[in-house]
Amino acid sequence: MNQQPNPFHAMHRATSRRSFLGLGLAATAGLATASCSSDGNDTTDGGVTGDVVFWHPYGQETRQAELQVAFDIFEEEHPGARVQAEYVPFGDLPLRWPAAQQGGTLPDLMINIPENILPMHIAGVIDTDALGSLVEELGGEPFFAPGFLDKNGRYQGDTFAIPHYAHNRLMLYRSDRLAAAGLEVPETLADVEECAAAMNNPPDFFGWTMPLSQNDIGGGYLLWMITRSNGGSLVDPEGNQFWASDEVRAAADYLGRIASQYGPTSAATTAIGDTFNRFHDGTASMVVDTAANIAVANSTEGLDPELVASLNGTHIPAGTQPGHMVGSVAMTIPVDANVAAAHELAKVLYRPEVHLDFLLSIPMFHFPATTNIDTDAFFGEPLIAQYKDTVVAQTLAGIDEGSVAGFEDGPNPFIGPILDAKISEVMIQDIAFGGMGVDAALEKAAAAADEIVARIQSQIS
Amino acid sequence: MRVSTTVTASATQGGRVPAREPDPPGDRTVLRRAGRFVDRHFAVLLVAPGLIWMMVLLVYPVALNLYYSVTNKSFQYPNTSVVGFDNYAAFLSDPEFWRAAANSLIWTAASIVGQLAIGFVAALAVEGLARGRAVVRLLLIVPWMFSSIVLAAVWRLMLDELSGVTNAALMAIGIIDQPIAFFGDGAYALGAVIVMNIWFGAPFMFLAFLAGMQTVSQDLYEAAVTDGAGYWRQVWHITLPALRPVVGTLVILRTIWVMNNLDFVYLTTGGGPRDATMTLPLYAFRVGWAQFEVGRMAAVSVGMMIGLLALALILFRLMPIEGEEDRN
Repeated sequence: MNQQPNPFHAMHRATSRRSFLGLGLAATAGLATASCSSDGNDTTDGGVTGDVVFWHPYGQETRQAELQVAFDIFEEEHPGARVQAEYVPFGDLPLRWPAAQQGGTLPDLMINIPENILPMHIAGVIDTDALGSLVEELGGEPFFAPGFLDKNGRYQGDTFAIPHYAHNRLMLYRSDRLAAAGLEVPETLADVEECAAAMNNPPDFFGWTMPLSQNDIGGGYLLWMITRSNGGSLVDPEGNQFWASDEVRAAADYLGRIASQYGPTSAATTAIGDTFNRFHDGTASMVVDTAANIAVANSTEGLDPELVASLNGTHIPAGTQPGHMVGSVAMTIPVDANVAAAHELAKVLYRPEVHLDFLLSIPMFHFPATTNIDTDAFFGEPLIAQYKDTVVAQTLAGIDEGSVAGFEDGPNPFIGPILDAKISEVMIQDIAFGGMGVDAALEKAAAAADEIVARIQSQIS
Repeated sequence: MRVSTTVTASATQGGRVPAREPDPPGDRTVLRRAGRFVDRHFAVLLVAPGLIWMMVLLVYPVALNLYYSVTNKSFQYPNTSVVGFDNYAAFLSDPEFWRAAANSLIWTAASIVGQLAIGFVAALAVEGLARGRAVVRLLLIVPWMFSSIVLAAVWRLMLDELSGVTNAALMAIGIIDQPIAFFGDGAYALGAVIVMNIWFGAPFMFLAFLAGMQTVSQDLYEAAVTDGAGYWRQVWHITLPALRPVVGTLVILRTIWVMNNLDFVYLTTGGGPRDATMTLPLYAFRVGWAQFEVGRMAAVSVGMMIGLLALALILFRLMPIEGEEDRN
C-alpha cells in the first residue's frame, strides 16, 4: 500500500516542535523578567523603610546575639524597615565591595577595619557627608576617644570610618616562668630579649613565638610595632619609605635575632591565630597578641587553670616609646545607601546600653573607642576587673596613644598592600632562618615595597 | 487584517511534493517563514542554548582574563588603564616567578611519580586479593572523602614541630634527636607537602589502575603461565602494556590538576618558609588576591595556561591515551 504523507501529522509535528521551542523561549523570558523585576530591596530613599542591608564581621554567636538585639529595637521603632544583616569577614571585604559596587548592591551600613575601608574611600565609594552628619548626630568629636578619629578614620579631612570598638596589641607573658627566672615584667626591648632568653627551654617551650607565616601579616605587624618602639615608620601617607632608616634596621635585626635564638623554626608557618594555641599549650612563654588571647583562655574549657592564671600582659616593648598597635573595627556608610535608615541603625548600635552589652559580649575582646558607655559597668565586669591594672590598662593606653598599623601619621593607603605582600614575613625569616644579613634582607624588602608604592601611586593618581 | 483563504489542492494530490504556498502578505508571512526556519533547523535550535551557554562560560572568562592581563586593574583602586605587556614583563623579570615555576615542576613531577608508583603497587596488591577487595578499596579512597582544609589541618598537626606525633614517633625510635619543623624548615617543607599530596592522590591512581586491570583478558595471563612466565614477567609484559592508555590519561589529567593545585600548599605552608614552597598558582594568588592586582594575576594565569597547554601537548605526544585497538 502506498503510504501517503499525512498532512495533518506533518502539521501536528511541526506545531509541536514550534510549540516546544516557543515554550522554552517563553520560560526563559519569564525567568528573566522575574529576576529583573525585583532586586529584593524595597528601600525608599530618604525614609526609614524597606530593607536595610548591613555588613558586619562578627561571626561569633554571642556577638551576633547582641547585634540581633539592636536589630529588634531598630525594627520595633521603624515598623516599615527590616535589617538584612550579612556576615562579611575582614578578609573578604576587599573582594566583596568591588563586585557589590559593580552590581549596585553595596550595603546601607557596614562594619570592617579602616585599612579595608580606606581604599573604598579613595575609590569614591564612601558617603563621607552621610558619615560626617552621623558623627554630628552622635554628638560630634566628644563622642569618640580623643584624637581617635583623626588618626584612624579621617583621610585628607574626610571622615571615612568611625570606631565601633578597638583593641591594642600587647606583649603577653607567662608570669610563673617570669617569676621563676627572677625577672620583672619587661618594659623595654632589652628587657623582653632578656626575658625571652630566660624563658627559653627548647624543645619544650620557647622564649617568644612570633607569627611569621606567609599566610598572615603577623610579621609585618611585629616589624611595624618594633619600628614604632624605635620611633620610626615604614612608610608615610605620601608614599615615602623608610626601610633604610636606623629604626627599621634595628627592628629587623631585633626580631630576626630573637626569632632565631628564642623561637621555634615552626614560627615560619605560625599564623596570628596560632598564637592562641602556642600560648595556651605552654610551648610559648611570650607572644604578641591582644587581650582577647587571655579572654579566650579564661573561657576555654579544659585548659590548665594554673596556666590560665599565669597569663598576663603588658605593652609592646619600648625603645623610645611603646609601639602600640591599635585595632579599630569601624562603621561606615557607602554611597547610594539609605542614609536615614543607616543613621538610625547606627544610632541604635551606639545606644549606651546596646553598645555596652555588645562590648561585653566577649569580655576583654572589645574595648571602647567612644565615650558613650557606662564605664563603671564596663570596668566592673569580673574579668575586666581582674586585669584592670595590667592588660586592660595597657589596652586603653594603646587606644589613647597608638594607631592602626601604618596610620601613625593618619590613614595611609600604602601600608595595607605592603603588609599584604608578606614582604616583612619573608624578610624576618630570611634573617632568622635563612642566614641572610640584615642589610641584604632590608634591601630586598625595600625593592618589593618600592614597586607596590609606585603602583598604588599610579592608581590613586 | 485580510486572511488568505487560498487552498492549494495540488498539495495533497498524487504523492507529489506539495507546491509551495504563496506567501500571504503581512505578519502572517513572517510567522510562516519563521515556522519553516524552525522546522529546517530544529536540531540546531535545540542544541544552540547549551552551546551558547558553554561558549559564554568558556570564552568569556578567557577573553576577560586576556583583557585584564594588559591592564593595571586592581580590586582596590578603580582607575584601570591599559598598560600593554607591562604585567608580562613584570612577572617574567621577577626571580620569584621563576623560583615558583621551578617549585611547580618539582611539586608536580614528584607528586605524580609518587602517586603513580604507590597507586600501581596498591592496585597490584588488591588485584591479587581473593577476599576483602571491596573493603580494602574503600579504605584506600578515604583521603578523597575529606576536604582539603581538614587534610591540611591534620597534616599540620601530625608534622608539627612542637606537638606533632611524627616527631614524637621519630624521636622515640631514635631516628632523630631534635624535632623537625617539617613545614617550617626550608630544607623539608617542599618534600613534606609533596608527601602529603602523594598520600592524597595515590588512591585515585589506585582506583584507575584497578579498573584498568579488570579489562585485561585473563586468556593472556593463562597463556603466559602456560609459557612459563612468572608473576613479575606477567606484570611487565601484560599488565603494564595493557595499562598504557590508563597511565597516559592519568598523567595528563593529574599533571593539570596538580600543577594548578593551590589549597594544599596554601593551607600548610602558605608558600613559605622564605618562599621555599611557592608554586605558580600560589604566586598568582598572592599577586591577585593578597595584592588585589588583578591585571598582574591575569598575566600570570595566561602564562600558566600557555605553559600547561605546551606541557599537555608534549604529554599527549609522549603518552598514548588510545589503546592498540583504537589506533588500528
